Amino acid sequence: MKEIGLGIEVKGLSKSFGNVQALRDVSLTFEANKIYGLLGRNGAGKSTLLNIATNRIFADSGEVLVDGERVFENDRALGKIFMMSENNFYPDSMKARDGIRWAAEFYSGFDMAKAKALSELFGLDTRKKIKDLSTGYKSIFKIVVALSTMAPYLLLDEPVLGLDANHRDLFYKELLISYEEHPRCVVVSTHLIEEVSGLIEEIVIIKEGEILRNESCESLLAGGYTVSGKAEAVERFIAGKHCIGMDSLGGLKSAYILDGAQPQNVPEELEITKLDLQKLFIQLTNA
Amino acid sequence: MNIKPAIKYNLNNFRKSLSIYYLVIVLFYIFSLIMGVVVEGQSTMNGTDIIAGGFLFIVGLGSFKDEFHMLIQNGVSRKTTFVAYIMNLGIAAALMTVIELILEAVFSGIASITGIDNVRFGFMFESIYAGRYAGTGVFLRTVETFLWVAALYLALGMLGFFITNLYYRMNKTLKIIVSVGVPSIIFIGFPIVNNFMGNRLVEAGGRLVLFILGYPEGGSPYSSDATPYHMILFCLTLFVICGGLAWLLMRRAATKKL
Repeated sequence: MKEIGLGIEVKGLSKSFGNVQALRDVSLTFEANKIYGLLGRNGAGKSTLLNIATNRIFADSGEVLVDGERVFENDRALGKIFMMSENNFYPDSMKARDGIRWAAEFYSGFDMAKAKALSELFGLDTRKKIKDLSTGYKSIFKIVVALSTMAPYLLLDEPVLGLDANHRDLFYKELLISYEEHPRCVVVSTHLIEEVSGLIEEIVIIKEGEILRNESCESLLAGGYTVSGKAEAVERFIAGKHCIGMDSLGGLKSAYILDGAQPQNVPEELEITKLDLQKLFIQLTNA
Repeated sequence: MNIKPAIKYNLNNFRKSLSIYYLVIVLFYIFSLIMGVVVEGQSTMNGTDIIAGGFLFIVGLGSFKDEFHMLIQNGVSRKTTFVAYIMNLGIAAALMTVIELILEAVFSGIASITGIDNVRFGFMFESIYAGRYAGTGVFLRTVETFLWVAALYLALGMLGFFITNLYYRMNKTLKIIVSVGVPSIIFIGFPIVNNFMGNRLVEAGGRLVLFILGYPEGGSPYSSDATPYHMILFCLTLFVICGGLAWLLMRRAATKKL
């Protein structure tokens, strides 16, 4: 039976770039065998967090553990993580097929058959140099490698960058298939919240280097609702409730309530709907 | 540990440039033989051992950024990347020294068999220590050639690696300052100071070079007292110092946005 790891533990991580504080005392755990959505606005600190977790850059303070071992300069811990990043770290002269071949050398559980199948499925020309691939196909190349490594921790930073709708859909399906076949910890950092909302189990929202929310997607969305209707009626209803934001259109208003309670005594003129993850994210990160 | 694939990756990259380099060198050897037939008069082809050192220096210069990024992408630590480079350099230095010895022996043999006796192939090493090996056996000469050339290759390969690490860690301003400053000191500052000091700097430098080459005080290349071990020790010290400095720079190197 496959051993379940302790996950990636982030402890008191801080990092600044000049005057910009990218991370402030961040602590969280990415547990094994769960799919996480790491959400945040541009410059929130998502990539910084993932880059520190993979030993690419250094934290000013704090540490990251993988299955209980410090990741800092630790080959064993690093060998358990594969990070797909926006940046291209492959040499200019390297062909896609060589990038795949070398990944198989470094990751012992690499599934070459899967890599070939995924390359065909996405229409990736592996004879091309990686630098000559379009932005979308660069992402596809990295997706092919990432889904074939079988590393227990998969960190995907903007995995659908440059992908068209068809390829994005295909990626989400293949990610779920891969997860079902080989359950592991997957962290997806993306701006396309609506698209991944059906995929992720856990949500980590990061804002200005601090963790704003870290809970299951289900509990986060269950803790709130959207109330819509005429502006005055909405205003009356939300009085005293924890409203995280509102949208207005003409005389109509939608308010987003996040107070952990279910709506009671709702007037007939108002409509109650589920919280939408993207709306919730916007309201939380705008506040 | 990912040390084995890291070494394999480094060697694979090195293999390509090495093949091209030795293809050119072999063509050069063949060209020298042809010239020996066509042109009258004595000619000597030596110094490919030193040129190969220059090649390893350039390989060292180009051996950091791409390898570092590729290996870190594949879960390899800086420590392992550094160890893999040292292993690769060690293998390269030994291999290239052996290739140099074989090429010299093969082409000297071809020249001798075919009667092209006006072309002489040899190492720069042999010219520097000509007196030491007059009347001695091939074994001592071969062993000391190997040690001297391999140590030189190690030092030059690591020097290149150190310089490329230094440039990787520097910001744009520092890069400009160093790129302009160092040549200015060497080509402008040094001659001025030397002139001011009545050529004593050049004289001291000359004595230092002779000491490193292992010449006795006032000695010449034909002196039988010349020893290659000063140079071997000097190269190994340079290798250790450059390696230590390169590691200090590399251990805190962060990946850069590409």
